[in-house]
Amino acid sequence: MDLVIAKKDLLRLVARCQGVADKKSAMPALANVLLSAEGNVLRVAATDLYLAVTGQATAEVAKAGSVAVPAKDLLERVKMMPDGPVQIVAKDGAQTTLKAVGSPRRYTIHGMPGTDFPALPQPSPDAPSLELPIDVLSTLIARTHFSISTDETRAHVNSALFEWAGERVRMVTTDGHRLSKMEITVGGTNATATMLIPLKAVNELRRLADESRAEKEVPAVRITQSGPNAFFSIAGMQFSVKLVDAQFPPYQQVIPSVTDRSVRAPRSAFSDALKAVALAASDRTGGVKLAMTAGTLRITSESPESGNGFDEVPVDYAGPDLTIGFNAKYFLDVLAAIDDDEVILGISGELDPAVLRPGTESAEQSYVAVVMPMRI
Amino acid sequence: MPAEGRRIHVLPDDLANQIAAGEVVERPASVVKELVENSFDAGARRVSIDIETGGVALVRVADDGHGMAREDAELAVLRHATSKIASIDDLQRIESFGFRGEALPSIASVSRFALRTRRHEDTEGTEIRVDGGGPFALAPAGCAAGTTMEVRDLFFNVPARRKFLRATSTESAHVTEVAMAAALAQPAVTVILSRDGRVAREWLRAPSREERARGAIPDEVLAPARGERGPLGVEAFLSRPERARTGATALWIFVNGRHVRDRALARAIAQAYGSVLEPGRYPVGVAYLDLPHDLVDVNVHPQKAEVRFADGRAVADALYKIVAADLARAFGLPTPGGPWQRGKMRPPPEDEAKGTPWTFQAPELPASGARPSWHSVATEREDATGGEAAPAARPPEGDLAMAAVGAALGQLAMREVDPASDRPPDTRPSILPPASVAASRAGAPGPPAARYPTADEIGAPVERRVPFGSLRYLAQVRSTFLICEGPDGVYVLDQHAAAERVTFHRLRRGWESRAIARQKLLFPVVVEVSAPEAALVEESREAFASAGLDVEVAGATSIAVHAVPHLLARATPERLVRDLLGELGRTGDRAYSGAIDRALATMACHGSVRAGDPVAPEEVAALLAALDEVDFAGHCPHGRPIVMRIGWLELDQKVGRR
Repeated sequence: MDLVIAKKDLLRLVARCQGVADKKSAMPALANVLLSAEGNVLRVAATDLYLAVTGQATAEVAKAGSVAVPAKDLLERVKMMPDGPVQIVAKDGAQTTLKAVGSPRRYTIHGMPGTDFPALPQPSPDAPSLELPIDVLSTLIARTHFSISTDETRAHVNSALFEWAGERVRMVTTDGHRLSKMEITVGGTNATATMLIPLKAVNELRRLADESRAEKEVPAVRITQSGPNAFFSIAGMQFSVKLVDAQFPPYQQVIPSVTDRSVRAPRSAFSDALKAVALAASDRTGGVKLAMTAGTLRITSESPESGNGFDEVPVDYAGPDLTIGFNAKYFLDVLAAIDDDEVILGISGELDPAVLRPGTESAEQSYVAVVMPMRI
Repeated sequence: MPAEGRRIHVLPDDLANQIAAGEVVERPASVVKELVENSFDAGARRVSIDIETGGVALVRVADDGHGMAREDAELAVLRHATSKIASIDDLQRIESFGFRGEALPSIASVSRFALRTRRHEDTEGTEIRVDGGGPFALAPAGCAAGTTMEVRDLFFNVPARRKFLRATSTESAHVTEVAMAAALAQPAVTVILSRDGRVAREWLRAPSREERARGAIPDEVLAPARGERGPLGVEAFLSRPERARTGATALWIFVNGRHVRDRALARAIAQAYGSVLEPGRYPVGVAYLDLPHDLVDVNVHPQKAEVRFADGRAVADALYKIVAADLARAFGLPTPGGPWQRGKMRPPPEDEAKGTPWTFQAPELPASGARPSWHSVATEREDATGGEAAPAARPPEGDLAMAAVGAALGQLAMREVDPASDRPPDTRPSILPPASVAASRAGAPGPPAARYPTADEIGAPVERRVPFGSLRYLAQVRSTFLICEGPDGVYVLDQHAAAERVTFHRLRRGWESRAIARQKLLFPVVVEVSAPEAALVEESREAFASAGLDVEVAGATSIAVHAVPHLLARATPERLVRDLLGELGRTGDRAYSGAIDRALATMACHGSVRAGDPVAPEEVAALLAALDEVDFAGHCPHGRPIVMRIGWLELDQKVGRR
């Protein structure tokens, strides 16, 4: 393999891939990125066998071929290259030289033949594809990612449910204590899809989407479901993920359609007060009590070790008094994820789930978060 | 016992009055107890107990005993009709379980009672029904040989009483405890307990008490301890010290085959472990005490749960000595340097055991050299009577000052060896772990610290003289051990054990104040369990709840978790439940506090830094500071030591500086 490529293109590709490369795997090949030159492009890929990411950029290819080199080593060295063209030469399919064109700076890296790198999944040519504006994907993830369970032994909730029905796309996540659901209407589409995207892939997707939004690149993501994998194409990068084959919990059942009381609260004031009072909550518990009386929401916390905290927020509420305990973090995550000025907190009883919604609902977007109470 | 054709006869009135009247029937479990004891007295080989809704709706006890003739059956439901004693003289030497003749009439007066019985030799059985103590209806009936008693709708005619019944699960738990006690008391009888049609517990006929004890407590390694002292015979099967629980609920004590809850006896057994048991902790196991019937009064308590000894202290004392001798042998109770040097707890090698006088192996009564019966020794002591059994194995008068020290018992053993020994004291192994040495130095004027190994003894576990918080953290090695520098040496902490201890302490404090926050679950987690486990959950719902888990029985073999302790919200509910079940199952009864301790220990284990976790220096500082607040910081909740110290002297010696 022998090629020349612009440093900035190479850096961008390697930087994006090395996040997926699995440095700790028992399979040493997975700590590598695969470089393969063909025609007039260089393709860079990495995988941990569950996720795979591939990107390509134009290059002057003198000799086609492929090589796998340690991701971290390559990234560090590419960063040190002076701006401008960089030459990559792989001898015998393994020994790789990285050389700045027009500069004596060079590195030799011990790689392995590209053929030793695991094959990356490819979508079957007839697999259906959908296009989604990148903003929509970004919003779906931003409003729901925090309630994905981090328990890897429970794959069905260690992932986000992504559904597309007609014009409506939806993402739902839960960790068993709380749930968030975001729905957005995408005009002019008509599609059906259901997939469980694992947490690690959601985080990668979020990063890719945010990056390409920041770079004002292609405003759409192409989603292809093929076999056990889903493929996301964003801004020249193709990202594939092995979907979770499990049953997401029946989330519709646990979202209360109506609640007995509803409190309309200013979002940032509520959030600030919660943050302040949670500080004094019992070690590690983060448990706070919300006491609602007409016109006021009182937030208290107490800790046997460190005393207690108190604050109150003026709210729009006219019902009877009620006190209910919650993990403040669960509320704070939601309050940070939405940007409305007001939120509506719906509560039925002290053992019933609480519902948080943005103060304004539109036909295009609908968001709801359910938080189970905590008995303190 | 009179055993003529008629087994049952009316007690004379005066005798009836001499028998302390008491409430026999307090709850379904007391019904079960009375009926099962009747079955045992009837020579049953197999007793089935069926209960519905905790025994309130139904208690049925069926046996294959000798049954009753029709006339006897009639009499059986009369007050003070009994087959078991005839005069006050018999009362002095009761060998059967029941004797007052109160049980059946009392039960029949507060329930819908039915009795079916047939003697083996009869062709036709008899059925008697009594509703709420009214007139009885008698009819011939076909039935298997033996007796079946059915008690339905307990307290249906005593609403006030009924109000006092607890939740079904609680009543069920009480019944299980009674059945367990009955099964342990009578190894030769198969006892089967069914709850709402499902077999919840099964104790199959066993050839010996030992087999029965092992069968009934399958999860513990039980060490046998046997011996006799004077008229007292003891047979005990006890768990390893690290399996001990808070509270004596998992320690089953039987006096002449009768289950008793006697604190003095339980304490004597716990003290036989020396100071490896924290005060208030008791081993799991079974202890059988046998002594002549005239030296023990079983007619103290209406439910016969308490007994009174002619000399309670002497019994406790003798029990302690017998158990202590065998336990030291079985478990190699620790000597300083022992477990640490060998890396783990195990009995000393044979030669070492011979060469080293294990303090517990020579516990003779002091001075005289002759071996007096406990009875005669007892008479020399003051205050041997009284309803309360005297505190067990208290150091006698001269050493009372030492009793201030927590582990009084260990010292008692030492005192008893001392007079006979002329060895220099510091060569003798101590049964006290050094954790209490500092205390004894401070508090005991008598036998001084010189008796214990010196602080610089090689590999000695750490005494709590230096506050953990004052240690200077140096490094973490193998992601497992924390190396710290103290004023007197290098300290090596097991990070997981230490963190576990701290979490345990916190959990336990939370539990004591009932402040374990429970996070409700959005989706109840259904866990598949075995039928006995489901039964256990039903019984132990309160225990689960106080540990922060809301569980409900969802089916015959499934339970649903509705809330988890917030502290462990990240742990998998299934695993949490399974661990808790494992712990609760080990007790086989409603040993709440003990089980909770185990459960909390398990939970602490889940919620703590593990071996292999990297820790930041700040974390270590916090951990060390927290350790100082823990009441018993020397060991993790499972009994493993947390910390060891290598004294400067030892280091100097190792590198040849001295």
